[in-house]
Amino acid sequence: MPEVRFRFEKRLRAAYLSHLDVMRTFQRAFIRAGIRIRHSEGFNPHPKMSIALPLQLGCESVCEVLDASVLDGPEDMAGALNAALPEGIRVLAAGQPLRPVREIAWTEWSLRFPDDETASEAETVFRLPSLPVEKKTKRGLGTLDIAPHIELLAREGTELRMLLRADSPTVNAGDLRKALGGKLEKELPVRCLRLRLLTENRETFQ
Amino acid sequence: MRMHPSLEAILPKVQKPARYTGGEFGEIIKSKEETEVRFALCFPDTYEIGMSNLGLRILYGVLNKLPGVWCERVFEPWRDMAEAMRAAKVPLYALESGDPIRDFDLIGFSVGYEMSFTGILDMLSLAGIPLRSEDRKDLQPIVFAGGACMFNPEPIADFIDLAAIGEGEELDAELTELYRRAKREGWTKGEFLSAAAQIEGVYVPSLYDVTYQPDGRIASVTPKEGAPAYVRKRILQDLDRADFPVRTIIPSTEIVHDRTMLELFRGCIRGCRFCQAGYIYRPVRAKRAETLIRQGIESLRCSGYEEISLTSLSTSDYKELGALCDGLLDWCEPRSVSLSLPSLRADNFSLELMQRVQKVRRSGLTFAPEAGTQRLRDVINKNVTEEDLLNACRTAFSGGWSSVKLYFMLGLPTETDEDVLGIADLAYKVWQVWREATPNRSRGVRITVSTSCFIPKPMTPFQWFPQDSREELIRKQKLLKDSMRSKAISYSWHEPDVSYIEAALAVGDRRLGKVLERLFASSGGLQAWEEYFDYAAWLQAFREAGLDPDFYVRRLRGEEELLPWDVIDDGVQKTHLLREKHLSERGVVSPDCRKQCLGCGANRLLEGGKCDA
Repeated sequence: MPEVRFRFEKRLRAAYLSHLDVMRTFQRAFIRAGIRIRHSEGFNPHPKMSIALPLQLGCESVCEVLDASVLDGPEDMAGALNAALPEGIRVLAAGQPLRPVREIAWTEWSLRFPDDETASEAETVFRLPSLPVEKKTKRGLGTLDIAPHIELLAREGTELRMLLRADSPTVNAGDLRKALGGKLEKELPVRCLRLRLLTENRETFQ
Repeated sequence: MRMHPSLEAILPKVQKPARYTGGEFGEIIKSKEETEVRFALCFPDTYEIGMSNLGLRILYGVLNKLPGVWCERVFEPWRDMAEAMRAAKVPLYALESGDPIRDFDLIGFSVGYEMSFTGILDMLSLAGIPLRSEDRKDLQPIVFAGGACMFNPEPIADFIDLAAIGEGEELDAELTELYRRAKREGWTKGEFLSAAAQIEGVYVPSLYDVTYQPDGRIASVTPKEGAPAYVRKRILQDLDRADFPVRTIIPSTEIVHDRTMLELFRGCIRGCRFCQAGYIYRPVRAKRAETLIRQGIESLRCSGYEEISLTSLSTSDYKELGALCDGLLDWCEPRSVSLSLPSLRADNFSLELMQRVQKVRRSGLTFAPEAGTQRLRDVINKNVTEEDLLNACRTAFSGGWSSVKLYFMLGLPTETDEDVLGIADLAYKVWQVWREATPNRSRGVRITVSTSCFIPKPMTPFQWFPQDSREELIRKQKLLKDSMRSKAISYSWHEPDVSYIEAALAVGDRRLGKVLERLFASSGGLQAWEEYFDYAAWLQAFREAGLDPDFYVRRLRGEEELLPWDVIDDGVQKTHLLREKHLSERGVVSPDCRKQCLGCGANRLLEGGKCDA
C-alpha cells in the first residue's frame, strides 16, 4: 500500500496535546488499530509518518493532515483508528493524497472572542497596514510584518474568519495573539479553530 | 470531562498542559447517576511520575471493576499550574470527570517516597479540604494513604484518617465496600473508622495514643476502641489469579516510564540489609511464565507500546526468566518491540540472554555493587563479589557493550575511607577490563559511577543505624571524586541535604506532622524536586516544631527502643532483623532465601506457610 493521507480533527481537550504528543499518539494508535507503518532503516528505526503544519498548543482544528507509509491494515482504517484514539482526535477520512503537502498555501481560521466589542477591536487591529511580530527563525529572533500575510474574511458577532499564509512565511495563531497582545488593553482568551487548508488559488486542499 | 471555565484561560499558559486535561486512551468514564462511591486515586507527585507507577494502574483497574464505584486519577500540579489554579479559584479536580475532589467519598494517596509527603498537603490544600484529620468531621471525604511509605505512617498520622498497609488490591476494595455500607446507613466518621480498624491491614492513627519519654523517645503506644495492637500488612496469595490491567491508560503526553510494565514477582530472595523493598514485599511470590507471556502480549497489543520492561526487585532472580524471554521475544521480535531487563545482578548475568533481549534496541547496562570493598559488601549482605562484577563487565564489553553504570551508597554503617576509595578502585578495574575485553577500543567507553547516601529505613536490619553527618558525606563525596583515575569514568552523587530530610521523614514519629505543616506553609509541595526542595526551610520547620532532625537521623536507636513503626507488622519478625543486624556488625553474610531459609517469618502470611523463593 502506498502513502495514505489521514485527515483528522483535534478538538476539546486534545487541543492541549503538543505536536510531538500527537505524533506519539498516532504511532501507538496505528499499532492498536492493526495498521502497520513502514519504519526507517538504521539504529533507531522510527515510523515514516508526518503531520503537515504543526498546530500550536491550545488551538483546535478540523482539517489536520497526516501522511503515512502504510504497509498493511484493515479495510476500514479510519474506523479502526477511531476506536484506538483518545478523546478529541478523530479521523475524518483515510485516502490517497491528491496533492503534495507543499501545495498548502493558506490556512483558514475562526477566532472566537469573549464578546462583540473585543472582536471588533481585534478586527481593527488586523486591518492595520503594518503588524510587526517577533518570530523565531532559523537564524534566531527576528521581526516579521504579518500584515501582508493575513487576510480578514469576515466578522460575525464574536467570531473573526481569517486567512493566514501557510508557507514562506508561515503565520500562525500565536502570531495573531502576539499582534493583538501589543494593541489591546486586556489579555483575552481567544479560541482558535483551524477550519480549512487551501492551495495558492484558494481551493480546498485534501 | 466538564472543564472548569477558567481552565481554558489557564491551560495555554502553563508548561505541558496535557498533564491536566485527562481524556487519554483507556481512561474509564462512568455515569454519575449509577455511581454510589466516588474514589479519588491520588498520587502526590506529577502526572509523569504517577502515570509511570504500576501500582496505581493496578488499583485503578481493580477499583473500577467494582460496580457503582468510579475511581478517578489525581496528580500534584506543577508550581505554575498550582499558582494559576489558586489565583483563579479552580479547586483540584479529578482527570476523568473534571469534578472537584472535595466532593468525593474516598481520597486515597499512593505514597512511595517520603519526600512527596508534602505533596499530600499540597493536594488537599488545592482541593479545599482541611489538612488535619481532626478538622474533617464528616464521613465524606475519608482521606487515607497506602504504598511503601505506609510501613511507617506516623509522620503523616495527623493528616490521614487511616493507612492501608501492604498490597492494596483486596484491601482497597474492602475499604470501599465498607464505605458504601457506611454511606447507605448514615454512619458517622468515627463509626466508620472504628469498623475500618477491624479490617486486617488498616491502621487508624487516631485510635492509638502515643506518649513520649523526656528524652524524646516513645514511651508507649496504646490502642483504643478495640483497634489491634499490631496491624498486619495485606498480601495477595496468588499473583497468577490476581487482576493485571492489560487494558490500561495510555498517556498521550510523555511520561517517565513510557512502556508496558510486567511484574514478574513480588518480594526478593536477597536480604540486602539496607533495602526496605527487600523486606516489606516479602514473602516471594512469582507469577508463572505462561501467565506473564499472555499478559505481556495482551498489554502490548492493547497499548501500542513498542517496549516492554520486566519489573521486579531483582529480575535475574526470576526462575523462569529464560522461558519468559523466549515466549515474549517470539512475539516481540517480528514486531520490532524491544524487551528491557532492568535490575540485573552481576552474579547471574547472562550474555546470551542479554544479546537476545537487546536485538531490537540496545541499551546500557547497570549494576549495583552498592559498596566498594568486599568487607563492606559483606556487612550489607550484598552477595556480589568483585570477580562477579568484573566477569559480568568482561562478558558485556567483549559482546560489544560500551557503557556501564555502577550504583553505590556512601555512609553505610561501618564505612571507612578505605571503602570509599574502593569504589574508585573498582571503577578503575572495570575500565581496565574494558581495555582488555573490548573488540573496538577506538569507540571508547563510558563508566558512570553514582553514589546515593545511606538512609536508615524502617523494617530493615539497618533501621537502628544513624546516617553519616552532612559534612562527613560531603567529605566522602569529595574524596571519591578526587580519586577517580580515568576520564572515561564520570561520577555523580545525591545531595546529602535531601537524604538528611528523607531520613528524618523515613524514621520519624507523628510529631513530624507539625514539621510538614510548617514546611508546606513556607515552601509548598514538590519537595522531591530539586527546583523546589528548600533545605533551609526544612531546618526552620523542625526548629519551629521544637524538634531536632538529628534526633531521628544521627542517633543510634537502642535495640529495646519502641520504634514509631513497631505497631505495623510486615510479617518479618523483629528478632530476624536483630539477628541480621548483629551479623552485619561482625561482617558475616547470610545466604539468600533460595539457598537456605533464614526463618524471617514472612512465610506465615501465606496460606500453607510455604515461600516461593
